[in-house]
Amino acid sequence: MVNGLASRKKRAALITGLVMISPWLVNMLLMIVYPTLYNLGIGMTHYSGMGTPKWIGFDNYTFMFKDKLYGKSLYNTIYYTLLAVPIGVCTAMLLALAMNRKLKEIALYRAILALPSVLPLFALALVFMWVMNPRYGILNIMLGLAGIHVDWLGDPRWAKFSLVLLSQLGAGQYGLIFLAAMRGISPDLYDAASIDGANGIQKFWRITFPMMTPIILYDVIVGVGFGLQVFMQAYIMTQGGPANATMFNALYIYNNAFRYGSSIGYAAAMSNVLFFINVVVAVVIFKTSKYWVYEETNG
Amino acid sequence: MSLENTLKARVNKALSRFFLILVCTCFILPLYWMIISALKTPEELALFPPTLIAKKPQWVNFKEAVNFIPFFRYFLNTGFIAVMTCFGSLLSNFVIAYGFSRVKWPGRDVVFYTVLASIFIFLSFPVNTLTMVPLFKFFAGIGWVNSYLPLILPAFFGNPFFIFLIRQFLNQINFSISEAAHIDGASEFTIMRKVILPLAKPCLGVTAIMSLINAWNDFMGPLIYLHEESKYTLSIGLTQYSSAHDVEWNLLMAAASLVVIPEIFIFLFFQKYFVEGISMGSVKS
Amino acid sequence: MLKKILSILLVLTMVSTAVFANGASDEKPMTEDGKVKVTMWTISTGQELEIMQELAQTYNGEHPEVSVEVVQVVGSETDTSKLMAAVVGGVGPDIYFLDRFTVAQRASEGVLMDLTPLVEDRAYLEDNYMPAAWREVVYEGEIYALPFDTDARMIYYNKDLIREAGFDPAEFDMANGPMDIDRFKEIAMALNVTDESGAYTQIGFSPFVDQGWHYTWGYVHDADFYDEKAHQMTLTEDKGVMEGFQFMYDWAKSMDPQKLATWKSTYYPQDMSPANHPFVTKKCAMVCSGPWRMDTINRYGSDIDYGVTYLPTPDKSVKSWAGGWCVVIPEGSKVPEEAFAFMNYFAGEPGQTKYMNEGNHLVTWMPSMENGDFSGSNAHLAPFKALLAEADSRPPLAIGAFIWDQLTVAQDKMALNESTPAEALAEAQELINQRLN
Repeated sequence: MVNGLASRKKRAALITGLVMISPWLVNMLLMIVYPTLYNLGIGMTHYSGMGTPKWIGFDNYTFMFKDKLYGKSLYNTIYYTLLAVPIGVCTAMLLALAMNRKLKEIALYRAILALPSVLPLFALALVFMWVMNPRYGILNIMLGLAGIHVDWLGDPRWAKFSLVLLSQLGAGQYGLIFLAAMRGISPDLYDAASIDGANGIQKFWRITFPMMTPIILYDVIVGVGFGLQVFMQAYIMTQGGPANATMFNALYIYNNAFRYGSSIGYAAAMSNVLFFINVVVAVVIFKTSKYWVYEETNG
Repeated sequence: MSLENTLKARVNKALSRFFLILVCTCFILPLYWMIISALKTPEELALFPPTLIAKKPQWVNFKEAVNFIPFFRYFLNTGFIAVMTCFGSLLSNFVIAYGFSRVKWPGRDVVFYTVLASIFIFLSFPVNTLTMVPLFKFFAGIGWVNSYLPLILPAFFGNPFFIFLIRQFLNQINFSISEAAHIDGASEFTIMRKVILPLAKPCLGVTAIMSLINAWNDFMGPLIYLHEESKYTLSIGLTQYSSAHDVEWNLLMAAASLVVIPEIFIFLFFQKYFVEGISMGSVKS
Repeated sequence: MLKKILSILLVLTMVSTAVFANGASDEKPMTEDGKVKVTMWTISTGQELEIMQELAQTYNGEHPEVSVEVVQVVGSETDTSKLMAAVVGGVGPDIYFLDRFTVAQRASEGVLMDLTPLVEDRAYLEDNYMPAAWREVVYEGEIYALPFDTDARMIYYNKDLIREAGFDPAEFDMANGPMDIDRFKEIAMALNVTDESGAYTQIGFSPFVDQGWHYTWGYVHDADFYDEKAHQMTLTEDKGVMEGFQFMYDWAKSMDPQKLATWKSTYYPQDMSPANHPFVTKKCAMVCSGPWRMDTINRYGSDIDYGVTYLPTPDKSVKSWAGGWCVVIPEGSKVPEEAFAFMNYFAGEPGQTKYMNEGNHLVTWMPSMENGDFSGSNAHLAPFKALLAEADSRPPLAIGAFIWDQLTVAQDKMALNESTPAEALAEAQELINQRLN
């Protein structure tokens, strides 16, 4: 009797649960499973977007090995990611430290710092062109005081870094996430450190930083994902130039899918490879995280 | 000793302020530049070095920008899509997250992994190119191209980021509340609506603002799905200021300002939720 | 196995398309008052768009059984994702205004309808359209478009700046024919001005600005770029291409590549406002551009005393290249006959004459050009008209946009002196060959 009631309850819960999440299952089939299968399939064809795709087996994949532009775009993307992720973490950390100050008007600062992350990227990019003007841009005027002069977008050596700088405008959002993590750290730890005579910098490296490693891990994973698919900035500000210095993988995929005829199959194949790379990188980061990420469980 | 300490604290505060004001200037600069460019004449825009304030603010640029395209028509269209998307997101994500958090059913955690995996897939695909083609083919197949349905309807089926965010929040609400209500004979759906929903307001605030803003800023979706001028959105409208060879720069900036200003208001209005919500969703991950 | 899964998927897609597609009927679209509806898309704006819409109105007045509507859409010369999406979605237009050099590419993709069966008198069209334009609308022997407007490349020069540097602007006069390219360089270099840090504040000329493209300098040096019979690009064998690239390389070298690049990103950044054009702001004394630039200068730089002349060439012969647009019928149109009838009007004598006289454009219908009104606001077009007979057009290959991008990369390398012309061209040629196969 009791057992029957329990199992009936369980079944009721199962039905309730499934009903509640059923929209998600539909979504997953339509937005994730179907596109993934479609791309795996279409990656095996020669396809212009019109008519019937022509089956060509693994030719798109072998073509990638021959295609120097693909190699270049992959190199640029990895270069950008390796630059953007650490800089992004540092900026977010700095912003969080600054936003953690006890000042009367701190709410205002927080609002301003988070504001650019809700603005459309294309608008930011258009305006950023002016900030980066070699002669009249505010950036070079400030650096000029220190005798530094950079042609941000015109010099292939600086172009990728310039786009990394632009993406820092979105760092406010991550700064807030870091701030929340920072506030979650128990004050007792700092008090104990003060008694031991630790100064601010020591406290940061011995307490704040280790305690925040889980959130840094999150930021690194997300950052790698966004880094590998960097597209909009280059599309608007450089269109891949100068001399292919900002020809990123996603931009090359876009060009193949929409600008160069008959290459949707190739674009899909490249997307699949990019996805695979992302999975591998993320798994590696997770596997190595136990060496540097602080785990609370033992404490 | 204490005098030295207060002095130190003051210097510390002053330094923090200096740093924050400097960084904030950098962050507000693009917005400032957009608005100031909108107020300039073409002649003033051509000045090298550029002027930092408009000599004679040309408010008429805003009027011209609004007349250049059917601005208010687009505004209404964009607003409609954004509000519907927002409504769909709130409804679906809350219910789905509830199912993943506050109802205990066999296999739940396994199914939840698909949400995590999807976040990952969303992050790693070059969104516009990879999922765009197959989805477009699908919606074209059922004859929904040139309607708002492909832009709005997906919101009613949940979004892995929001599901994750809301679930994290719901997990933190004490489960004894639900149990008490169960004992009083309330059904799961009643509890969801009457008890948990009011408590979940902060994280629903973030969901609302983020889905509103994403829909408002979306460019690729309207570009490929809407093929009739009367259905266009503002982000499409902005591209109409450039012709084959030239860009009407001051008008474009004026229109861009008008597009962005509602977002700023929404942001300032929901700011508290935004700041809180982002923190909550992430900490426990 | 995978192939099987794919074919099942494809069949499913096709079945669902057939079942659900609302556009499956073959009925002609009608307006409420019983006229056949023809929709045309263009990315043109402003005055150009207005003229097109007026043309449609006039045509509708003369043909009460149809109603042509011209609609402005989003896109760029090479990015037609919007058109592709609409055609696949079954809501494409009946006529599309397309950059002519991409006709071959879009035709090979299967987006464009073959117009050959609709054409009654092919020889008549061939005889009356400008040859360089006609060459671009034919792909594998079939006609895929009707040419519309065209353009040409020339040098604009600022007389005051040239006088200040001690030269006589009369030397540039068109009456003297094209200037010798070495003499041109000599004058340009004398017009460079630097500030105390060595950065250019004014230059004579940059071959990398505005219409100073790879094709421009290639055609100036008598290049062909491709072998019509073999259907191949000939970047490495073509002496003219090599000389054009060498010219760009040497020019950058004599101005210090990085300094010239910095000048460009300062005064000619991407997505710039036309009011900021370096010729308007007097940051360069000469610029290579097209007829439309005259409008910019008159509007924003009314105080500039300027002239227009031929491109400088090594052998003093007249050289230019012509681009331009055309009208096509995308696949899926249910009213190709009606659409083609309007196209004949639009891209024929009535449309082209109006576009030339009122829109200040050069056109491809030669009778319109010959009888055109070259007085008043069109007076400035007269010199360009003479150029068209000599103009080349870009190779009509199915990967036009890809070729353009690779040539642009090679040109960037010239601007930066990153590699020699031979290296850059060999690399571009290799990538293009890979694509073509």
